[in-house]
Amino acid sequence: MKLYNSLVYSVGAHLDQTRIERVSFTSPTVTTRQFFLTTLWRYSFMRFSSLLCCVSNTSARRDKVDEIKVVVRAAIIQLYTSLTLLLQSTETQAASNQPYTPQRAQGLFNSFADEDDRDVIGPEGLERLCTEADISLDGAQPLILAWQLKCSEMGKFTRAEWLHGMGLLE
Amino acid sequence: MVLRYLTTGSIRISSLPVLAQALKELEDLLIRDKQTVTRSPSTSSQAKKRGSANTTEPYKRTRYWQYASDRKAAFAELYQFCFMLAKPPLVFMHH
Repeated sequence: MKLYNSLVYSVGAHLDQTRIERVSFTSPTVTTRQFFLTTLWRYSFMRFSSLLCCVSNTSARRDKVDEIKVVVRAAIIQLYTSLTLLLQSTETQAASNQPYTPQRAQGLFNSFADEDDRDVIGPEGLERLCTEADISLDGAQPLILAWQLKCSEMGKFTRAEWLHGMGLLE
Repeated sequence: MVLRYLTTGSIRISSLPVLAQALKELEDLLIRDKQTVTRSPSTSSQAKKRGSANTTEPYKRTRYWQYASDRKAAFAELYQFCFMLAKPPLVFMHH
């Protein structure tokens, strides 16, 4: 939390100096990210209003407005990124909480099945599956998956193997 | 010995995060030789005796616990499977 407090302070300080600095998220938790964004927005708007009140010169005021626009744009991008990450983490959580059903097992197979042969997950589908599941293709996990599904051919899963392995034909 | 685990039932997985978790747990168990995952209370012997439903496990870990009971045999089975999978098909030459 200290890190994010300092980031918020840093953005505020840069607003004071009418200079923008890119604020980067490393790997914050959702709660921390939300806290950070809320604080950032609150702080930014407070600063914007005070900045506009203090500047009397028209051209200087225009410069300030331009800078504020940049800050708002950067904040919107950050907010959008954070919301996307939040949505993704929520979806992942929801998917991992889903209980097993044969229909879901079928759906999972269908989402990686080959275009030409819908009863087979070929090497391309397997690669996509591993990418989406964050499984390294170089490691042992694809082989363990093949073992669990009792595959007869390397880099290829048939629908029967998949459904049997995943539980439909239990 | 090789066919020992083939009739132990399926793992009952229908979502990608759970599949990834199951594969990681098996890799940790058989390849990395890590400690087994903690048994959830509902799969304990008392829970089984009471016949309560297993609601806490993300997937059916029956196979996992069987592998954990004899890691060497399970690894040998995996090794044998990989060996057979990678082996090129036999070609008979007819003279």
